[in-house]
Formats: sequence, C-alpha cells, structure tokens
Amino acid sequence: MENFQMLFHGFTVVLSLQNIGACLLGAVLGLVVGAMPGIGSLAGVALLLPLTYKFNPTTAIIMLGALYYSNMYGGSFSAILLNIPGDSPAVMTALDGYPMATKRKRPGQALFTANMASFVGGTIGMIILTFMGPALADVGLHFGPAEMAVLLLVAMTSIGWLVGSNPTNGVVLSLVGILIASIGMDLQTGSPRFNFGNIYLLGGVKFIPFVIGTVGFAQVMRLMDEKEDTTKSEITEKLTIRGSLLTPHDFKRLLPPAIRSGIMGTFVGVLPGAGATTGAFLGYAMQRAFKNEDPLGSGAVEGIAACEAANNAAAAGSFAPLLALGIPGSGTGAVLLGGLMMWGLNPGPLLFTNEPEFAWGLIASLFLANLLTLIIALGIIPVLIKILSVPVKVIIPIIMVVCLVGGYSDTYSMYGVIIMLISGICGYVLEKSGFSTAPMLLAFVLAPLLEDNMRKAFVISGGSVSGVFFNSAISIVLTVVFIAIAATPIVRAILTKCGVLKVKKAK
Amino acid sequence: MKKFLAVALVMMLSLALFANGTQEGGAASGFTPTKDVEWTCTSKPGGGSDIFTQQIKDALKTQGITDANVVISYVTDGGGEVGRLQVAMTGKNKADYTLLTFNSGDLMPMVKNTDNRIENFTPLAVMAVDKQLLFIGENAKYKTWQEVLDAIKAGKKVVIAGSKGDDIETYNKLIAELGVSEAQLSYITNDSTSGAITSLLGGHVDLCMSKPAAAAQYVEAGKMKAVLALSESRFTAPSLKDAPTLSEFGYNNVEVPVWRGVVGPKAMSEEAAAFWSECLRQVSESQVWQENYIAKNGLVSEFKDYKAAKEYMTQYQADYLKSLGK
Amino acid sequence: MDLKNKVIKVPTKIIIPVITFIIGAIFFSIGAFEYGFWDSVGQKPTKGFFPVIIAVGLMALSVLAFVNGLRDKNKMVEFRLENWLVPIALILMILSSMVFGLVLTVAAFIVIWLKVYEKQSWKIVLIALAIVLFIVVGCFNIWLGIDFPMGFILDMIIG
Repeated sequence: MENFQMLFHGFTVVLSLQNIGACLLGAVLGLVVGAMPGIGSLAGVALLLPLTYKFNPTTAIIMLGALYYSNMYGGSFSAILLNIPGDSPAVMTALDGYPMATKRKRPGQALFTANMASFVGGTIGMIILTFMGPALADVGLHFGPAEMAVLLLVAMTSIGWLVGSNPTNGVVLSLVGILIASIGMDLQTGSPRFNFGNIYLLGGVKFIPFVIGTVGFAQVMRLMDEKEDTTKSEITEKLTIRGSLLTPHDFKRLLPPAIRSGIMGTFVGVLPGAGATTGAFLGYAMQRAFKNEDPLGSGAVEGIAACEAANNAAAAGSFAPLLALGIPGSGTGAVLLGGLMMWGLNPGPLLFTNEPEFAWGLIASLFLANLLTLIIALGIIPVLIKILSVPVKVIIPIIMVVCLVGGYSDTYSMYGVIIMLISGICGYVLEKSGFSTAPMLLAFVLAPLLEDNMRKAFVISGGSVSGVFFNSAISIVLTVVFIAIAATPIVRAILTKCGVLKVKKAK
Repeated sequence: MKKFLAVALVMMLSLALFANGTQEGGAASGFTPTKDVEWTCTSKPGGGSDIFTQQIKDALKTQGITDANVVISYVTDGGGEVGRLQVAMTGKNKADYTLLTFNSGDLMPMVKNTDNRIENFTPLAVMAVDKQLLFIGENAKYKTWQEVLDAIKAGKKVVIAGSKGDDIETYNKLIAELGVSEAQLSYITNDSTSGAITSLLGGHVDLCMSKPAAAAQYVEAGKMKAVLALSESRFTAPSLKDAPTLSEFGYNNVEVPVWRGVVGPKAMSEEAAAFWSECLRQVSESQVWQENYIAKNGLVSEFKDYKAAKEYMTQYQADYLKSLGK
Repeated sequence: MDLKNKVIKVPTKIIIPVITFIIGAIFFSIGAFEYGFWDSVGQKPTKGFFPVIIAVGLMALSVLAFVNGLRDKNKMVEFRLENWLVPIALILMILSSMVFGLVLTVAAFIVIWLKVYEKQSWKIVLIALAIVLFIVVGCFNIWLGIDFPMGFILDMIIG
C-alpha cells in the first residue's frame, strides 16, 4: 500500500492549475503530432521537447509525460480514417480500423473504440506500473537475448494469422519483408550488407516511408477506382456526434479484448527492446484465439480494441525499466529519458529512493494525461470524421501531398519519398494480384529484432543451438509455446486428412 | 550556361587566390560571418550528436560569441554517410558557412565503409574526450579482472557486451593485446550502452563496456563495479579509481579515446577555420557548456584548436586504418 | 481524357513469384558466397546466416506461388491506366521540388490536379489549397521545423 500512498502524494503534486494546463497542452500537441504520418512518436517527442523549456521542472516533466503518452493515441487517427498508419503500432489498427470506418460506415465508432481501448489498456498498464514498478523492471531483466529470440519467434507466428486466404503468397511477402529489412548496417559486425554499393542504402530502408507507401500511397492509387462513385456522400448524414457514439453492445465487445491486451501489453512493454509495436502485434494475434463477432480484418471492434489497448499498455509498461533502471525500451523512450535528465531527474536504481516526488509525480501525470487525452480525443472525433465526407476526387491529391511530406519528414530528404513511392507502387500491384502486404510489414519490424537477439544468443552460447532454446526456464516455456503454435495447423491438417478430425465449416 | 560556369570558375579561382593572399594575417578577425550558417547533424533530433550541436548553438548565442544565425540541418541518410559526404564536397562559396558535428564514432564507420576520409574535411575543434572501462554486475561469476583472465586461460568462455563504433574498436584492441580469440572472449554489440548494461544487470553476459557517465548511477547503487580501466592510467573518480589498468597485469595498456568534435568542408578558408575554432574555444571555456554538457555527461573537457584537431584526427584515422589492415 | 476506361491486362500473379525468386537468388548468392554462413573462429553466425536461410525459403515458396499462379483461372490482372497518374504525378513532384521547391510544387500540383484534371470549382480548389498549405507550411514547416527543399532556383538567388 506504500506505493499507493506515494501515488496519492504524486497526485497532490500534479493537481495544480498550471500543471493541469501544461498536461492539457501536452496532450493536445502530442495528439495532433502523433496523428501526422511520418512524424511518429519518436520524432514527435523530440520535436516537441523544446516546448517544455519554458516551464519549471515539475511542470515540464508532467507535460513531457503527457506528450509522450498522447502521441500513442494520435497514431491511430490517420490509420483509421485514411489507412495511413502514423507509426508502426498503428499498422495493426489500420487492419480493422479502416474497414470499420469505410466498409461498415462507422468511422466515429472506430475512433471511439480505438480511444476507449487505449484508455483501458493504458489505465491497466499504469495500475500495474504503480503497484509493481521496480519489481516489474527486474522481471524484464530476466529476458536476455536467448529469451527475447524465442519470444520474437512466438510473435512472428502471428504472421500466420494475417496471411489471409492465400497463405503461400502471404509467407512469400513476409520473407521479402525480412530480406528488405536486412539491407543496411549490420549491428553485430558493424559492416554494411546488401547495400549494393549505394550510400543511401547504408542506412537501410526506413520503416515509416515504407509503411506510408505500402499502405497509404497504395491506398490512394486504389481510391482512383472509387473516384466516380457517388455512394460516398450517403454517410455524411450519419456523421454526427450522436451517430458516432458507441452502443452498449459495442462496449461489451470492446472490454474483454482491451483488458486482456492491456495486461499482456504491459508485460511486453517491460521487456528490453520489445516496445509498443510488438505489443500491438501480439495483442492482435492473441485476439485470434478468442471469439469475434465479425471476422478480424473486416472491421471488427475486437480487432481495434486488442491492438490499441496493447499498444498503450506497452507504452505505460515501458516506464518501469525506464524509471527504475534508466533503460529506455525504444527510441522514443531514449528521447524521453534525455528530456527527464535535462530536468535533473535521473532515472535509474536510485530514482525512487532519491527523488520520489518527481518519480511519482510523473506516474500521476500519466494517469492525468490518459484521462485528459481521452476527453480531448472524444471531443475532436466529430470534427475528424468530416474528413470522410470530403469527395474522393478532392481527397486524392491532398493525401498524395501528405504522403509526400510524410515520407520527406522521416529522413529529411527525398530518399524517404523515393522509398515511399516505390513501396507504394509495389503495394498497389501486390494487393491487386492477391498478395496481402500486412504480413510483410510485420515481418519487416520483427525480423531485425529476432535476428539481432538470435545472433547475440549464439555468441553467448558459443554457437550451440540448445543454448538458445533451452537457456533458461523462460526459454523452455516459450519454446514449447512456439512449437505448439507452429505445429497446431500442421497436426490439424494431418488429422483432417486422415479423417480423424472433421472438416470445420468456415464461419 | 557555359558563360555562367566560366564566371563561376573565375570567381572561385580569385577567391582561392584571395584566400591564399591573406593567409599571412591568420587571425580570427580575417573572417566575419555575414550569412546563415548551416550546421549538419547526422543524427535525428534528440540523438547524441543533436544534443551536442544544440548545446553549442545555444552557447554561441547566449554567450554572445557570434551573431551568426546557425541553422541545424539533419541529414541522417545512409547512417549519416550522406551528410558527411555532402559536407566534404561543399564548394568554396558555401564552405565557410558549413559546419558538421563529427565524433570518433562517426569517423570509424566512415573510414571502414566508405572512401571518405578526414582529409576531405577541415577539422575545427575537439571539444571533449571520453574513455572506457569494463564493469561486472552484482552477482558476477568473476569478481576481478584476474579471475576473468584465469577463466579464459582455463578455457572458459567470457562474454562482453558493449555498444557499437568505438567500443568494438576497443574490444578488438583488447583481444589483440591479450592474444585470445573471439570465441574465448566474445563480444555482443548493442545499439547503445544502455542495452549492454541491461544484459549485464540481467546476468546474461559477464562483462560490460561503458564510459563512466553511462555507468555512474549503477556504480553508485552498487549494481555495477569497474574491474578494468581501458586507459593509459587509472581513473581518478573515487568510485572508479580501484579499477586497475591492463599494464598492472603485465600487458600493454589499451586505450581508444572517444572524442566529440566539429569539422568543416575541405574547401573552408583558413580565416573561417580560425574564426570557428576560436568561437568553439570560447564555447568550451564557458560555464554553461562546462555545466550543462561536460559535467552532465561526465566527460573530460579537452579543447583542441583547428591545428591541433587536424593533427589529432588525422593520427586517429591512421591508427584506425592500420588496425583495419587497410 | 479517355484514360479512365483504358485497361491493360498483366499476368502479375505469375510475374511476382518470378521477381521474388530473383530477389531470393540475389540475397542468397551475396549472403552465402560473399558474407559466408558461419564464423568458425568466433563460433557464431555471420551477417549472411539469417538472410541465407530466409532467401532459401523465399526461393522455394516462390516456386510454389508460381505454380499456384499458373493454376489460377484469373491470372490476368486488370490495371486501369488512370490509377497510374498517381505515381506519375508524384515523380513529377519530386523533380519539380528540386527546381522550384517543395512548397511551390505542392501548391501548383493541387491547383492543376483539381482544376485542370478534375475540373472542380475554384471554391473547392482554394479550400483544398488552404488545407494543404496549412498542413505543409503551418504544421510541418513552421511548427515542427522541418525544412523542405527550396529548389535550386531559390537556392541560387539566396546564395
């Protein structure tokens, strides 16, 4: 209960008019920047960091927390409305969010679902953080390279859930995604690979332009087909605040996946280097195992809820190692750490002993930011969904410009735009030819993490395979889970062929 | 177009002549910036090089060292190689107004993976240096460096975790000096030192290579302990002074200094180089810089002017090329 | 413009596996022959280890996808030519940005696309232009401090 008292004390620090104002400002700015494709949370926090200079340390840190946190919210907006994910976790949100907004014509509810799930996931993450903070960080430490490698293998199996109706094509593209991700500097040897003598490729293919192209730009090319469609204007009538509210039934659908993903996401966020993206992927994959009213990928409330809750819970969870050990779980975390240190807060093993006021103030401000961001997000949804009532003809060139500027902003050069263009054309052709690109994006993000951890694990084990998979109790459990997941479809296929298992009718 | 090129050529030549003609003057007063200065930074906003650049930019302004308007431009393509190449090739007309943040961690990949060399730049200053130590964790298998050496001799595998760039070079020099193989004393590269510290705290590796600043608070909390100073002499800080150097075990000392500096394009005039070097000296001596950058990051403030920096960086590159066998 | 109804048919379902097979072959050969597979001195995988495994898998599955593509009854995929205006316009924008600068290019593009190609009213064109300029100049450029290329004409004037 001591932690609870400390948190309460933190609230007394936070709840002053000036601090609430700073928190509110941070939440609004973070939300808007997070929604811009190409900026993402890393650059968003970095670019907005100077804004905190104007305040006293406590207020500045509170604003920083709000900024970081609301950035996570914003990423889902453009994913749902325009099918352009603002950052990597939002790739999963787009899978169900965009169909729900367009095909099911429930854009308001899609945004509400994302935000409510974010709120639930974030709150769960913060509660766990409050009670278990330092202890949680120690759990994360037990995950060394070997354990991380096996965990990422488990995460990679979730590709299997995404491949859709044509498994071969899905896997082919996943493998292509892995190879593209291997271009650039190899960390373990410090030397370039597959750069084909090109200086730009030394830095690798950047994820943000790649995803803006594959998903967003390809989407614009597809929109050209719907240009003359006049049915679009029909939704305009439904675009009122009341028409955007979630029904109690939606709530019932949203809550279980959000709670499950919230708990799981928190623990994923604690792991070194795993971060919000892995959390969102795992959350979505896990949802496959549960009952969904609509099939995932067709605009299911459960799909949006599962990945958004996991995303925000992971963001909260990553505060445990950040504060208790001074270890940032991601690039964004590193920038945040830099910002905290600038204000004389030294995250690390001594933080909770030396500067409890600051530390708990920050955690309390996360709670506050979570609530404020939800309120603000709900307030601007009615305005945002108006985007969908703009005629397709007019929106096409505008999104093209957003893609151009977004691609440019990630690399500060035309290199990003060119990657965006090439991946956009490929994405368009591939989708038209029955190759779904979502597995490729997932493989692109996770494979480098997997490779790096696997190679580190091999170095530590001296090249022995059992040293990777049976390194510790954690590895063994994860290896068993991995084998079980990988073997299930194969065993089922064999059993079905032998007539032991009856062929399941597709729902 | 031809005419234009001819005019440009003549202008460039005359500028070059003019520059040579006034070289004798040599003082910083020979150059005063009249245009915006473009300062290239090869990390993203918020990265290590960016913080360094921002701090200098702020000090230049707040300390009234120069009125020149400095604009930071981020060129992160190709792991920073594109930005370095652009600066190296900057022509005479913009050369005096182009600066680049340049660290030992930039020089190494540049020299290793591209044909770009320090000779293509005009070094302006070295602002700070840093050195490495090896640390053990709380529940380490080997408590001292002697135990590590004994373990390696007994055929046991010992693993070091560290960051990229300078750290790898330090490790390579270390195993060469000890005369052991990569399999006996292995190294895993992390994206940052904090990743390496995570592995050490979790007990997944035996040793961790870090600069004093990154490890400071873990040492204070008793979670990490320095066992070997990779330096010519022992460190002086109370928490680190017990770490022996390699020479105390009968080997030669291994020291790969990590430095942070500023360079301009090769085409920068001597006057401009002297001017910027003087500005950076004033930054380096200012209290703001000493407190907000050097002290905060636990660095050693060591200023070298453009002449000394040129010698230092060139020598550093030569040593590195030799170790690469190039 | 009769682009709207022009359609070309391409058997992409069998072309794509061929391309992915070639990608696999390139990565395999560079990985296996240039980077190697296993570092026996350091007892660890090399930087070619992981890509080689993936490339082998990719080549094998590409063959499977190719066979599937051949069997597919609708192997000819229809592409409307009009959709390709999007990437063409973007290429033109990239080139134009280098000369006239990105902001000017973007503004001109919005006007040309909406007014000349889509034949929208000036009111819609101007609203769209205002929104785009707000996003590009207001948000990205001024607020977030991202400098867009000015193009070499402006660069030359400023020096």
